Amino acid sequence: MAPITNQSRGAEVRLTGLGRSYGDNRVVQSVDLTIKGGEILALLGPSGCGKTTTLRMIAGLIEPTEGDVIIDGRSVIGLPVHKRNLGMLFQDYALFPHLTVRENVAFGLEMRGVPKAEIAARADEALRKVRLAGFEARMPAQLSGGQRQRTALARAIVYQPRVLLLDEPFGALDRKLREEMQVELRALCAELGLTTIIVTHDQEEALILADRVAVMEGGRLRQVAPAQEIYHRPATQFVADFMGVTNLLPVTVTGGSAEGLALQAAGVICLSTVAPDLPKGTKATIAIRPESIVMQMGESMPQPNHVTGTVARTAFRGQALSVWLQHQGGEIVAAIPTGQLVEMPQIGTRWTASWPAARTLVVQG
Amino acid sequence: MNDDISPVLKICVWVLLALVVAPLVVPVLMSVSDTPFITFPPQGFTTEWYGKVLTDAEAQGTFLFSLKLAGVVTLISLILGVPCAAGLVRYDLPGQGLILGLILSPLIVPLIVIGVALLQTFAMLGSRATFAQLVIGHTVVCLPYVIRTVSGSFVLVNRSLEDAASVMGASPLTVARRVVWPQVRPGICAGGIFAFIVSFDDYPISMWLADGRNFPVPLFLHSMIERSFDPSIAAMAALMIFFALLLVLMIEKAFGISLARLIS
Repeated sequence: MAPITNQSRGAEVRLTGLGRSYGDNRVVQSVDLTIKGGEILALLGPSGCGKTTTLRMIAGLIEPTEGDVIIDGRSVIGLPVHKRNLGMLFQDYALFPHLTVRENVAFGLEMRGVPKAEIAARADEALRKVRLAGFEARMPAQLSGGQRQRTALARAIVYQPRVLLLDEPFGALDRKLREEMQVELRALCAELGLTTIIVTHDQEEALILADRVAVMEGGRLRQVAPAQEIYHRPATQFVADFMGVTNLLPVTVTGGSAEGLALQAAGVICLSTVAPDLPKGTKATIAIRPESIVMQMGESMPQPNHVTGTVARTAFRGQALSVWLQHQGGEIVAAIPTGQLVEMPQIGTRWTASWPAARTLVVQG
Repeated sequence: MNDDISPVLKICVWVLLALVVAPLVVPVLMSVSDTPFITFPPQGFTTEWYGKVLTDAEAQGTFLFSLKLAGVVTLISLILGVPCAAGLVRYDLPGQGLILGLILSPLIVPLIVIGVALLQTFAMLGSRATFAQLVIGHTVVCLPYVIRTVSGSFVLVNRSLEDAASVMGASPLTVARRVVWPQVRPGICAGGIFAFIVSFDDYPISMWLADGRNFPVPLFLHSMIERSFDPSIAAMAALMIFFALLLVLMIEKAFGISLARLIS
């Protein structure tokens, strides 16, 4: 095997018109995406959206049927998996059960023809980085889920791959451990300066880990934006829904003014200061996050972004209380932080929901 | 170990085991009988019959021949069976069911029919290569055992380990050697030992294909029964039982746990 000499860190990954079909089934289509050197990007989407297929095409485990994968300015189509010099963390970690932790970590170095003495030193160094020193001689079966994940991570970074690929890396961990590992992984990626691509279906995880988030649906990219922007400014109804915006109201544009764009929904007049300039009569959807809504007891005067209704049901979620308000045009849900809850909304009582014009998003579709 | 197994099931298992093992105990007991003819229950105790069998030149010759035959058959069964099993598990081939059905058919068709069919075929071809004929006949019968156990071990192979290895820079050959082989080795060894035992113990195929110079142990045993009826026959049968038992213990010792996974 030809030795892999390229040790540059943080390669740029460019996908151009990337696609994969199985017969007539186009699992991934026309994906155009550039991941800058050292950037952490999350591929986010529901299961079956093509995100894992995209990741596996970058790795070379699946051949694309259209388009190109360009790493470090060079197309890797036709380059076999083992010559791409990538690191990958698998959902089930894929540790070799017959090898010790150290031997697992050493595998990639061995494949690169690194001298024996150096292998041991570098493997132990990688294990220290993931805070697993002292576990070198254990077998994978003797490790906890978190320790296995760390071993797999050490194994993927030890030979300084050009790109680190993570496939649902935290899926098998419990919530507390997951949060801990997410913060650690973020710090480690920043320290190593690795270009990192994370596949996940968890929007919170994507926001915590990634510089930029690419939302996929039905095999296509729907929106690619920095984490903050994708949270506050989802471009489409699907992205908004997936990012946890549960209030989606169909609206018609009634006119623009200096104050913002006026829109008419069923039973509510809305005003948005963050909408693009749409012509009068355009059909659109407004998206309001439950946590952007303020609830007040009693009726209100008719004014934009205010709606009065009857409390239909409530759900206590710990940090927040979800309140469903039935109004004449439909239903709207608010999440009130429990810490700010003065009066418990009782079912059947009249309340008014309101939200700022700056948080009234207008999305396509 | 498993306290939650129902007592009814336990009894069934023990009864079944007794039914399987009891007939094997009989010749072992008869082989130590201190009488000039076979009796059951045995009278007295002697190891004289074992001595007689083990020093008999004819018996030694036939034993060595059976070893050679079973060895060659095992080798060929593995060479044919391992790639076949791997292919059947790993690829979606047209006519896969048909291929598997054909390979496993010797388990269903009576062996004596296979033997006579092979004899007629070889006769038609005018073949006189008795050893090769025996090898072919035994391989036909042993192949299903190899395919069964080996394909079982390929089904259990964790494919993401292979993906992980190749991403880390392992060439396909290295992946096969370092990742696939350790996972399928128990199945291949077990398949080989099964093939060896099946070939070593075969009577119905050999009966049609053997001749005076190519004479396996089971045929020799049968001819001895026709000639005389002293306990040396039982001693010989007991030796065959011990030999098979030894082989099974060897695989159990080497891969006990992984085999349990394979069968379940």
